[in-house]
Amino acid sequence: MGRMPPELGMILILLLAPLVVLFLHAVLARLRRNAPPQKVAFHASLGGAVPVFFLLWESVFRHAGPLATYALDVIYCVIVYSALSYIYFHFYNMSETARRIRILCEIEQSGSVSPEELTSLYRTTDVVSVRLRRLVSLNQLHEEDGVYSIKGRTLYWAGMAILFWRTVLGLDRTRDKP
Amino acid sequence: MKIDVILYGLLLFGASLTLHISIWRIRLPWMSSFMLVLLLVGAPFAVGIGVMFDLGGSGRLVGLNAVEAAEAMLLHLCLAGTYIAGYPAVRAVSPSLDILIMISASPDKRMREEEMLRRYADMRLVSARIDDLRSYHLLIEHNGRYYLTVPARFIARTFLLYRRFLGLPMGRG
Repeated sequence: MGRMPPELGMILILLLAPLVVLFLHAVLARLRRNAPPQKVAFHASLGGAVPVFFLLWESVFRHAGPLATYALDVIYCVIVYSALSYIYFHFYNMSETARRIRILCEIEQSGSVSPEELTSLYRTTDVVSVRLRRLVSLNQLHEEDGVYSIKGRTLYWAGMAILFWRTVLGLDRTRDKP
Repeated sequence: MKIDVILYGLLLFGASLTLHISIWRIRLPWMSSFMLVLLLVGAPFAVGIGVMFDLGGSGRLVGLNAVEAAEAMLLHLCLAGTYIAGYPAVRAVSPSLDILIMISASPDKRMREEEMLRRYADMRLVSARIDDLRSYHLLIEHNGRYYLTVPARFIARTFLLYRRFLGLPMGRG
């Protein structure tokens, strides 16, 4: 890092972390075409920590003296990296699952669409069946003879936490406003 | 690093979150996602930049120099970003999470796809999203057809380019 203060170097490396995750994701997405896409994005977010923390070690922590002097910096980096990789994962997830993004991309590709074309392209049945398949591939649902039951509890608890937070914000459950 | 950097970062995020909860409980703002970004990112960022310029030399604010203030601000922005990323699922109906809760709440803890479809028949899963896009001025209707506005084209192209970079087709929504 030359004469750059180590704290500034640390901030710059952390700010570059999403780019590292993006490039790793591009490689993993090509190597693991049959894996559930969200799992690939999650693994890229986790795997990006290796080069980022290696860079932090080499340029900031290695010459910082005993661990006690930079333990707080490590905790700070772990929090910031986790948050940035979580934001990256959500950005990817939006490109995969968000209905609004899909609608915008469809219109961008075709120039314009009529309301009928849009609703026929994106029916409620598709919304539900695509999500059922996605939840089965993520091991959150079990499907047997067309009957679905809960398998994993991770997303179920996320759903319950969201319901709780809606109550905290004073939003009623059925409201669907911008 | 001083513990103060982490504490002030957390404190700033906590204060912004408290303000957000208070405002939302009084009245859900119009264009709430945009307002949330302004509240959690825009305002603290503008104030933070001002403070850092002010501290550019040897000045200190609550014991932090300019670089430490930037570290605290980065921590706040990262936490705010994670919250904002999850906000759409809180604000609107997320069919995936709804499906899991619906199955879990059913008497046998098992459901057929048709039963779930019946539950969703009355919900405006697609048209509510179109209304969203129109209220954010991302979509305009002209002669019975929908067109994208300039910001919407930018968003769509960003996502299309991103998916192309990853070597993936367009997401299924």
